[in-house]
Amino acid sequence: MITLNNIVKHFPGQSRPAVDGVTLEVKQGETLGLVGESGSGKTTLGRCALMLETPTSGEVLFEGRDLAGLGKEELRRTRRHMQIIFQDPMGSLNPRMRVEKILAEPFDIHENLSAAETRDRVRELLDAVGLPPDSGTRYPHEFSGGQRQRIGIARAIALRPKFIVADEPVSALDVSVGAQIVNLLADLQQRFGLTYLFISHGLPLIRHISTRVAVMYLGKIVEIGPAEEVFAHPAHPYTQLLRDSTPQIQGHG
Amino acid sequence: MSLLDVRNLAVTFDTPRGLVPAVRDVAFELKTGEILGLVGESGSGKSATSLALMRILDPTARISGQVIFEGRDLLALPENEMRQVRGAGLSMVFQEPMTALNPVMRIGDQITEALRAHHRISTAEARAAALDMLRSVAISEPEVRMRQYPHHLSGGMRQRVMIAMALAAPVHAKRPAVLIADEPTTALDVTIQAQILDLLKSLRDRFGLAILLITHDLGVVAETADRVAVMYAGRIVECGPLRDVFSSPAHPYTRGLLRIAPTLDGARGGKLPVIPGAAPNPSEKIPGCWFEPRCEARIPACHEGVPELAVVAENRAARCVRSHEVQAGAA
Repeated sequence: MITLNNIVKHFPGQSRPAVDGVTLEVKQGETLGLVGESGSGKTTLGRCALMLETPTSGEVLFEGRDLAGLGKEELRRTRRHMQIIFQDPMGSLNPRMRVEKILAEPFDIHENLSAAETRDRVRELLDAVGLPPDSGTRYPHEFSGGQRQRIGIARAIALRPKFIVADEPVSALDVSVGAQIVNLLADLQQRFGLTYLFISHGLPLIRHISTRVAVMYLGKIVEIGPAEEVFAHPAHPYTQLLRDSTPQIQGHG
Repeated sequence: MSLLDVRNLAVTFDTPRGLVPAVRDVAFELKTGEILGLVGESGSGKSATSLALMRILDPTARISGQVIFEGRDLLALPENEMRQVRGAGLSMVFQEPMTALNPVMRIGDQITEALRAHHRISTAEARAAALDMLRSVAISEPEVRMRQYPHHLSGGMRQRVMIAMALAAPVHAKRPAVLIADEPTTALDVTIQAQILDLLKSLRDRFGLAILLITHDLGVVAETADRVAVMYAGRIVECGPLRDVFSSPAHPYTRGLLRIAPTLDGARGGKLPVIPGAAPNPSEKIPGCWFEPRCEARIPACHEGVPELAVVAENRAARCVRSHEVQAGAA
């Protein structure tokens, strides 16, 4: 689905690259978990995968095509297949737009729909993410954090993308609400055949949701493998340190 | 005997939209050398509780109840006496040390100033005490750190400085007996978090410090606390020794929280168990149990008034009409 070849991203004025030569493949239908601490480069890598950041060097292939080689128009058309879900939905939703407007925007940009068709699609989206049908007429601030993340997810899936980067999608939410969102993402994956790059600093969550896991440290992937295996038998000392540092509630139960 | 005895604590905010009760009927004790984990999700009232103990809530907050510390009710003290208790009897550290530290003041000067606010000591004595405390929190090159500014330090280092500042005391003077730590590791990476939690435990052992650890993270509590109190919608819904509460929770909310947390060795993939819905708004009027709408064990009796925090076993209490059945796994 997505192939990253030797991606380097070096921000001007920084002593070391944020992403330092990452080669990675996200396979069709899988969830690749990307785990690391702050400053590991995981968010930058996720943004590079969508060409939201232009890599300093290296190539991003989407279904075999080099995104850097695409013209502006072609890139725009390809982008509809690649979406992102952010940690803080409030920061990514226009506070002055009603939810129906926010969710209609992708259709206005990428599809030529009548007003009635757009309304139907918005209603379908609200239903798909478990929001009440009357949510459309309200503004983002009228929703709870979990509901706002559902709006962010609805927008991300509006154009039936193939690939979604989920960047810490539940980190700002309470655990009881976060679990609901994780389940929603899993449902949508099954229903729409989505492929995820799931970025998180939380090991237990990454282990739960991922098919494979890549551990990132100082801009590099230090370990990659099946989710179960990576945490049960870490091959890299950093993975082991992460695992051993993660507070555990079991052993009491 | 308990060091800190909180009774019937309530905090209500006077807002333009009316009175909003944030904390109701909160009671707990904290003993010397004990770490009590106060757990809850956002809006549960755990932070308002901690700020009320220190009396540092904003003026729109009305606080009632009793906070007995060393025989005195802190809520009844005049402000000038309370000022002497803060930082000398009860100290507090926060989630974000960068906002609590003065960015344009050297670390050494900040700790020294805090010390001299409470003790009649010379600058030299204060500096010696500051240096000593920086060593106690295992800061590398403490002499160098004294001359540095907060932005020179990493997040974990800053939190160590905050803890040092909270607990510093001159030779022969009493150290603060209680540390209130409000989400002290939430802004930190897990590897650093583990170090700070270890530090808190070692300070507890070394100084007999009592710690009220406020967190949303059950894992943090599991690694650190001796006892736990779980808050929901402004009230404590369950409290007791960590081991007992985690192995046989007596409140459906506690049980739910324990179930939904993904682990590093449990089943993987599939659906996470969930607690449906979301916590109620504190200004809502709910006649019965506040968790009832989300509860899998609800029965008609749950509508009949807010349950009392009732004893379910030795040293354990829960606010649920079915707590015995829940604890036995029968509900």
